[in-house]
Amino acid sequence: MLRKYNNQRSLTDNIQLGSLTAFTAGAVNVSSLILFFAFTSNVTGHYAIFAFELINGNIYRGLVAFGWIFLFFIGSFLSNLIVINLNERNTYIAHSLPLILEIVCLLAVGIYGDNFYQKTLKETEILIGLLLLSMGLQNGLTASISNFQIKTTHLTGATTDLAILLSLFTKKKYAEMPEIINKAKLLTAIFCAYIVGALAAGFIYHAVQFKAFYFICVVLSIVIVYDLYKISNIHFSHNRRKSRMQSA
Amino acid sequence: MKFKIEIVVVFFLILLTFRLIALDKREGTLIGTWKESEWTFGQIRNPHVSTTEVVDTASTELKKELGKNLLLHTAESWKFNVDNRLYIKKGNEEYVCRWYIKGRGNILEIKNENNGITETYEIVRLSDDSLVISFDVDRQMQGLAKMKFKRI
Repeated sequence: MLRKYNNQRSLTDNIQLGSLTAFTAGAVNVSSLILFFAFTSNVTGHYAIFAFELINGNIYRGLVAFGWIFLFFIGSFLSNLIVINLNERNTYIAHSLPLILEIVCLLAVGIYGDNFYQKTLKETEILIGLLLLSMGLQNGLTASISNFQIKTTHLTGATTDLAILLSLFTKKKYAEMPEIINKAKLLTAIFCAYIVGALAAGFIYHAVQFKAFYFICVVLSIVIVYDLYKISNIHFSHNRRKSRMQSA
Repeated sequence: MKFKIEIVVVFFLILLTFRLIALDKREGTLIGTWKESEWTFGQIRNPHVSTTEVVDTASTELKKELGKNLLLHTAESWKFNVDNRLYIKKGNEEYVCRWYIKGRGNILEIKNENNGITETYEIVRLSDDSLVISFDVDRQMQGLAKMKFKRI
């Protein structure tokens, strides 16, 4: 999921990464909506709020909305900065570091919310900011390493793409093109995972509240550990082959 | 080296943004005692659309119906304390609730600790001397009730 870059990535790699990250985005978005009355996996609405608050003369409230947008932006910026600077040294570290930072953000929200949260507006706005930062990190990473094919935190563009693809399927010459079929498969997987994540978070919220973020961190850890397991397997086979050759 | 500097700048910007967000003083503006001054009820769902009425448009019966199951119904004064306690005075009775501001500072959540019921209102406007909140009405008639308060 994380070892390969751009065109080296297979459809399976993209579906696996897209599904797991879309699941977490859906879960984060619903959790924040229930806990804080704010969406955190996308910023389109916050742009509208930013303009709305400025029009109404609420400059500071507009700045808060802008701050949230900026945190999402800087998250994506940081992700790609890490990818392009560390990719040549170690692809796996370059691709997993943004996810580790995302886990740190989500864990911070979970631990703070579970133990210290007094429900003040200041805390609420900072925790929303942390969630937006984490979603920016995630979206920046997935878009960056998949050549902009995977964007999992918001579904506006994906909905448009899927609608276009489905309309293409009405023409036989397009319906048989593998790249169109693959793109449709990827988008469908992302949609389904996002909805499942959102529903899962909605169902478990009452029982676990802020602990839902621990569960989301576990899902993200699967992405990191899965690739670590694959890398160690490759190294193990490589070393075994090398020692066999040496002994022969 | 350049990469390290870039990372430091990014983290500095992140901290600066959180600092800016942490300057929010909206809760402080709400603290104090408020008295209901006006009720309006309209079919327009958007709380930010101003109606031309400047007087109490909701009749006593209508208010009674709209606020039947709400804590705010017939309340005389609302006292928001720093410790997130809200004292709602109704005649000789006084109810103690918890209040929280959520979302981007636009949601007022009031939790009645006696029965565990949570009510949410949208804060349409909040300044030093006036507070306007609204809530959706879905029983029998549909629309948006708006309550205006003055600081006392």
